[in-house]
Amino acid sequence: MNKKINKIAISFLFCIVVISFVACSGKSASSTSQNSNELNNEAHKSQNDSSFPYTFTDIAGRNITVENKPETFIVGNYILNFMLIGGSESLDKVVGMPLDGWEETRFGEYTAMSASFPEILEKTSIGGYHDDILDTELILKTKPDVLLINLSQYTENETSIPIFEKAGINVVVLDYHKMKIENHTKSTEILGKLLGREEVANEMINEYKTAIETVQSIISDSNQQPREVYMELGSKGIGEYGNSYSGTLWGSIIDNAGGINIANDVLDPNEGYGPLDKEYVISRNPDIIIIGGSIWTNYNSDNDQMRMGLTIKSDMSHDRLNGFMSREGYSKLKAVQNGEVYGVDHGSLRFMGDYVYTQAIAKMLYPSLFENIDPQKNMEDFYNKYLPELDSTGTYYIKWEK
Amino acid sequence: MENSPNLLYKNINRKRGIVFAVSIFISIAAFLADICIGSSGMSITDIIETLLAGPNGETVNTLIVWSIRLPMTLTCVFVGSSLALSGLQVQTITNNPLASPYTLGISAGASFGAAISITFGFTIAGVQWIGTAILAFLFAIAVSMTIFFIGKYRGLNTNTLILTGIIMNFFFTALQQYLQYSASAEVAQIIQNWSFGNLSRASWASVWVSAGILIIGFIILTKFTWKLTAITAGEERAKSLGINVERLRIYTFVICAFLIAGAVGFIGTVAFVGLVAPHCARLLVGEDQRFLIPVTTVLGSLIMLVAASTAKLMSNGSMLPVGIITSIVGVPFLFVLLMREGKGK
Amino acid sequence: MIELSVENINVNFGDKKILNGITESFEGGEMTAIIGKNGVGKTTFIKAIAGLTKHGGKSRLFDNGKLINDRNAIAYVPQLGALSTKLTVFEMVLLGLVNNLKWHVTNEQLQMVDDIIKKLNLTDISEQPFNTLSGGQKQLVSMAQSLISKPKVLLLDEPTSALDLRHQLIVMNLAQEYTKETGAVTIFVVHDLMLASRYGNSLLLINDGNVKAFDKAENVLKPEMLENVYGVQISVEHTKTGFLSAVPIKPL
Repeated sequence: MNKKINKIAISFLFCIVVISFVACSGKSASSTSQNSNELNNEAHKSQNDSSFPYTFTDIAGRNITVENKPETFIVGNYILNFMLIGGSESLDKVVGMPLDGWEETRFGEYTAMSASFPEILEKTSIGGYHDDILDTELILKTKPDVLLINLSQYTENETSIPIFEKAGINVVVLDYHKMKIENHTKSTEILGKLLGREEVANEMINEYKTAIETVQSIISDSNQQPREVYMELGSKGIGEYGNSYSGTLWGSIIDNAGGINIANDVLDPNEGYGPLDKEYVISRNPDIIIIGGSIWTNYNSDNDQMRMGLTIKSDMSHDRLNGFMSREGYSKLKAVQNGEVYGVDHGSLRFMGDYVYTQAIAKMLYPSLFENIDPQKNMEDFYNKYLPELDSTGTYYIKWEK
Repeated sequence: MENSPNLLYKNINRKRGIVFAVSIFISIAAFLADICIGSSGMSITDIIETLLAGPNGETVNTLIVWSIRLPMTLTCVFVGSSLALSGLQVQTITNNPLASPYTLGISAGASFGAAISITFGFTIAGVQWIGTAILAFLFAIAVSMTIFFIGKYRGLNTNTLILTGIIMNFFFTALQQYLQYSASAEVAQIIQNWSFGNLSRASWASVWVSAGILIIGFIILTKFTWKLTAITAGEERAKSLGINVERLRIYTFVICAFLIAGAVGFIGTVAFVGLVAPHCARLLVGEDQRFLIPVTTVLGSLIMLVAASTAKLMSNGSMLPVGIITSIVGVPFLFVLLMREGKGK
Repeated sequence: MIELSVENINVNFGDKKILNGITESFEGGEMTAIIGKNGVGKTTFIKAIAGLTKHGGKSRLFDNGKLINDRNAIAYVPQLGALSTKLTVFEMVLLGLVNNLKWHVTNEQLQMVDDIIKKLNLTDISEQPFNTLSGGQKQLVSMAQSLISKPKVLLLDEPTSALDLRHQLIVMNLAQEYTKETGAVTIFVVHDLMLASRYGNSLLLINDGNVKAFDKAENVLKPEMLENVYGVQISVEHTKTGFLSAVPIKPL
């Protein structure tokens, strides 16, 4: 009995010693970010902008006043939107962002951005891209002027927000996830102000609104019959049906572009998503099939998921789309026989360029009305206009070639 | 007189006292180590200075130590203690070494309560996390009571209990999956996160509530020490010694339900602390609840502190949920226990 | 002079009648063996006396004619079951005083445990966990746990089942000694008719919830009675050592 007690006690002690040792030696790497932080604070004092103090309501409905033009940001989400509005130089203002899991969750964005802006990988990682958990302590230590987070990060870290505010960090909640025009434009407006790029932001907002209004007025002026669309996310490969969307993401785009989304009859029309039944899809025999792509697992892996987006070559997208069309029973479908099958990039949603997909889907639904629209080109133009330094080579829209 | 039973007994109790003192000492060391670990890389002298300077400073260090690390570490202590103590007493009153908040499905119930709150945006005074904590709390209590009454009618033997636990786990996991399935991707992510206990949700509120429940529970339970010890000597024997076993069980179960709810309501599911701590404590000090209760409580906080420190050290930017660590360590432990129990029968 | 009197004790489990109203009186300083087939209500009867089973009727305890209402005066020693407790022998015995124990155990209480452990020759194993003991040792510890509170009624449920011959005698001698010394009422349930006649001042034969006989061994252990109750052919003989022995021949 005695021996046993000793043994256990010793092993506990050992654990403690090991932990204390590692604790004392392990964490010195993050001190580099501190220096740049101080430099920015110097710059901060000399700045004086007439549009500050800036008082506004963020997407979470919080009233915020930012006293001085912010010089340092932690970008908890939407780094691409941030840089599209702020330009490539705005990256210097970024003192932290979630880097953990970025490569795994958004391979295309990660690859393209880290290739064009290698310094992005040296930012302090303040959380995981895959979850919404923020490293409160590291954010406090980094002490940016503004912390930008999205709605789910806000919910997950509710208890930490007052601590940030106490430390003088302005917490601003943005949202591009809900794919609502008002959230898109408001978030962009806020970013424009905070980054001192209101003109760019306004231009972007106008472009966005105009594009969508134009599409809708063209459609409502015509008296063509609406047609049926089946949209599927090709994340599960050929063998299993991936998610469809109703009232959210692709679902709301199809609604906006005047199509009949076959998912609306089976999924929750507000925020529904989930795979549709194979039998249902075939029996509805839709006029148009859209497969959403992205890069979900490691780029080199040889699977049958749909691939689209930044860094993807169109050959590969076509190849994968072919795979989907070889599904059992598809050859009998109207859409396949008429060649009305398309690939779109799931990763290009939730940012200011996603109006291109309202145009793209309108073009699929009413080819004769939108002959002059080229979604692939529009997306490339959008990137080139706002962030030319980013290598935006990629595949954003394809039409299936039999 | 050398080997008089009386003296031997006193001697053994003295040793148990020493074990308790040592475990307190190690826990304090672990507590300090945990406060010293964090992603901002503060030096130990800074930490000590900040601690001594009190919570009212305006510096970032003050915020880090007083608003982040201390609540996290203290929550760790109280959550670990509560889980361990409730695990011990659930084992005692069911006379079942495999019982614990997690294996009985009480944690799964709490997790589902939290998922409901997250999905439907149940808030108290406009604050989401209070709503979540309260629903988790209510579900933990409801599940405990359900298990207790099932046990009452079917007998609280090993098989009934463990099977009830499995059923509860399946049931609430299924319900939670349904919520996750029908929620939007973002909400599903939050629900998912909640099912791993994560100390980043700790706050002073969680410290006060879990500490309050622990202290009250601890004090009440110490009043029952001898009766609880008698239950370990067998239900029939306890009854024949004049103990109202039924009533003692109800009281204890209610206290446990509160302890568990207070522990998982704030930070989410933390598995196996309630199983591992009581067993280690029994190996160290035997079955006398006068020693078992304090030592289990201390070991529970020690296990949580070590797990939390490990989680912090393994994290880089994103915070590794502490519940994952305790699960990884706990499952093999449960396996060994199961094998040993099986052999005993 | 202690006396235990039971009046019309009846017990039902649901619709099933277990005991049909037993009325008897047991004298202090004497041991009564309860015998009968499996499932006739022997254990139920002593549990009813101990107040551990819901029952109708009355069970009253008198000391020199004075009614005693102290539940602790009655000790029930359950049959040895699968009990895996790791409590030590000392702690098990100490638990016999559970109703009077506070956080701090007094020296007198420790001394009481000490005394009984020595008396029962359990000194060498006093720090062993209960679950590591042999059946005989466990039974002795159980008895010690009950005897430490000096009960006026000692109820033993099959105290000798699963014990070797030597321990059967040690345990029963202990009960006998205690009964004689303290003038307590001792009632024990037993299957072995030899032990029943060897230690029981009288035998209580229960059949189908009723008392079939309550008398001295030689009046109860009669072939015709036993054949009737147990359904076996039985031969009852006096041994050379002066004990009564019932030898079963074959089932009827």
